[in-house]
Amino acid sequence: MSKLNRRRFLKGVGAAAIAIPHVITSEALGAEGRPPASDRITMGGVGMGGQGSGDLRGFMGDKRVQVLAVCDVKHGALAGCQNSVNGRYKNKDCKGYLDYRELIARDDIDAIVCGTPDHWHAQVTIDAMKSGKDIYCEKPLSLTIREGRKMVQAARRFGRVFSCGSQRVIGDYGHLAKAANSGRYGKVLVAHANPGGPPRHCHLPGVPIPPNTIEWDMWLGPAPWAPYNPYRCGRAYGLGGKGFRTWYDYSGGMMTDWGGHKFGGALHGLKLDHTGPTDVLYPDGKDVKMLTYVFKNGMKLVHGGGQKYICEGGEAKPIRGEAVPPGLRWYEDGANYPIRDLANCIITRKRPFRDVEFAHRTATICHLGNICYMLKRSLKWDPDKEEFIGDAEAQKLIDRPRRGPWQI
Amino acid sequence: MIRKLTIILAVGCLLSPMAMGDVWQDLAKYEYGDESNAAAEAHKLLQETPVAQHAAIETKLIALVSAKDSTQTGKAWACRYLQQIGTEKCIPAVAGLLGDKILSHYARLSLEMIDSPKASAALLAALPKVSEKLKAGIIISLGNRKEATAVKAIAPSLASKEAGTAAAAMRSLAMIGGKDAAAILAKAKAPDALLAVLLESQIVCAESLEKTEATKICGAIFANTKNSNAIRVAALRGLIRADGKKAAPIVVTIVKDEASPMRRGVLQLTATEPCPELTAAVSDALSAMPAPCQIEVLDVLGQRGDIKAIKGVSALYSSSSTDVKLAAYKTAGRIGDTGCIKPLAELTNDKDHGISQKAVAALGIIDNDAVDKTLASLIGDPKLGPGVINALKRRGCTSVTAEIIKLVESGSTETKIAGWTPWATWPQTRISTR
Repeated sequence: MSKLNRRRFLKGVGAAAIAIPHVITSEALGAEGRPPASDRITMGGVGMGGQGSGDLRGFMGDKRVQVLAVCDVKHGALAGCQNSVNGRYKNKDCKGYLDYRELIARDDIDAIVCGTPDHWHAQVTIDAMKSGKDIYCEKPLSLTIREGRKMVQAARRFGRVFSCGSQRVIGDYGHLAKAANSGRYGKVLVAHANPGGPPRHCHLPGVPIPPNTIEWDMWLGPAPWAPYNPYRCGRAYGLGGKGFRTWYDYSGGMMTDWGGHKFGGALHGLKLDHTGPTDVLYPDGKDVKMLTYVFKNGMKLVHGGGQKYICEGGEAKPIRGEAVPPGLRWYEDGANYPIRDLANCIITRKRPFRDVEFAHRTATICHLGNICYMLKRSLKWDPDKEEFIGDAEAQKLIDRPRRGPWQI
Repeated sequence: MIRKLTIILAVGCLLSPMAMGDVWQDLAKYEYGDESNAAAEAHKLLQETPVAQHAAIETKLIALVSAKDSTQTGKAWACRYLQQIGTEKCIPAVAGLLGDKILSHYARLSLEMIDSPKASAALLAALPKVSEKLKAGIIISLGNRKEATAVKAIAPSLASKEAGTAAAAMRSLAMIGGKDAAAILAKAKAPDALLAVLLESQIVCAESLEKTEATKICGAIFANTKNSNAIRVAALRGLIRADGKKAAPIVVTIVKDEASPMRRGVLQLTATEPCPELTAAVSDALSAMPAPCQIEVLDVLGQRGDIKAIKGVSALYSSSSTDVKLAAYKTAGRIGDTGCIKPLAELTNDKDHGISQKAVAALGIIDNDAVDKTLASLIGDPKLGPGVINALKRRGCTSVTAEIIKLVESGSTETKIAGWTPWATWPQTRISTR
């Protein structure tokens, strides 16, 4: 396999500051079994809260990866992550940035981890791809349907490898997908997935920003202006109102946050993560008990009822150690987690298991569900054109105008 | 009876939006954290109101937005609700907010999404009147609306001293596309910090043009070696889309060159860009590439999934490198050629465990019933049996369970070992219907 020739890669790249660690450690020179510097994947982290910093730690566990810089608009998160990276490498070389644009302008960074809140995913990753970076982005991929498609387009236009998160698609639900596709139960008819519900609007009062804690305007970014409140931008999970995941302007709620895992797993097992539904049926309490997505091939995906597949021969029950049936996508090259998978794919240029297209189709399922719940009626969807059919009211919700100057 | 009717009428009035004047009055005075919780109440009312009655709510929201004494927060929330239910009627009121530092974006929530030329007209009318910074947002909205009539109005902002506004102008012209936008972008000058944005915009705009024009633009950007690798890769993609025949040899040159700084990006393009000339050119050039390149390019051809690559791929079946051979068979399987099955079956019995494992894995992923049938026919061959059984296990195929049981009872030690090694889907009661 040919080596990643990083020094040649730097040649010819447009004008930007090239930052080189002051001290080339013995690790950089290849001691302790680590690959030499020219075979490394250099990485930056943007959005280094709980999940983002955890992902970065995961990448640092791969001997091929060297983290050079991190960025966060929360001063505490930035300092904490910087210290963590420096502690790992036993030096002080990790550079910290409050503005991700400075980080992605660096020519010596090959890839970034994006762990920002959802409303920033599109902007950060698209800008990074335009600067020639490969991407690991946390799920859910996007805040709107149109954003997701633009992320795919940017990956293809700039020839980038882009993996979205969700270790659970295989980690937690892969055994169900194997069982469903084993042939033991015949054809798959319906998949059930049970992420939680939609977000809500935030009405929290504004409070003074404690000094040197957060770059508030930057945290808001493309989202509408609103006053600072720690619970507006907090890291808390769930819809309890103490974190960004509760709020419509920054997240799709649990529908997207857990949908990235659960709908992702269901679509993977249905082998439909390259397309979308034609109908989204709102629960009317009569014929439709739970929100239901209907696909062109007749398969259905139901929001609720656990996580399972119902086949012609009944519910697919997994068997321990079952083989991966042919035709069911899986990790390759010894990867068992999306982080390692991306690191492999950056070198081999293979399509990662959670390639941006599959992540986009998963996120679209989540967004369609949220739109259906918001409008309280069924929807008709064209999965090829990615438009609602004859539904101007729904079509308005396919994207959200961004606050200037943010544009993707 | 009359009393009942009166009660029904009174309840109806109470529930109608026209009677819920308090909610909208509260919203007009609303600030975050107010006890009235007017924004949440208004949203709840909106969700509960049938679509046929939205027009009445729209009228209330328009009045709120237009009133001088409504709070900024109240107007912001009114704009949010107009994003959902707003029609042409709300355009004049909402457009009046475009010059406000905070409310300009809220105004665009509806203006950008209303399907009416009047919305574009309102945005255009506001453009020369707002501050240089706020222009960025309006231009973004015009770009997202792909408003062709806005091209001339946007053009002057290419030279804006506000970098965000200049960048918005470039990208919006690209999104609008067409000859006029392309001509303006071609003549534009950009400071160093925005050069990549300008070039990217020219490439995106080219996608809307005739192929000869697109070829010219993308070809020139690619050829300029002072441009960044990221931009040159994007330009090459544009060239592939406009003129695959011209682009294909360039792609081949880059993927063959292990030292090329664009190689990684171009390999990705090769995997994803639908272009028959690309399949032919890359697969024809396979034999002349060094072995490590061949393996990478074979995988990329597998991702392309184009059966037309089979001629070039199958030429590598006779490679002196087993790794290349394996990669070629694997790719052949992925693109739908069944000629690889028997050679792979032979390799599943290779003395080198690494090779046999790779062959088993390669057979494992081919999504074709012919594989199971062919492998089943080979089980009885004493030289191939053990490896073939492993491949069938890897595929989870249970339709040949009976044959395998017969074989392990009478077969060689290797066959017995392969047959009796735990096989998760062995249970005879669950026979595959695949």
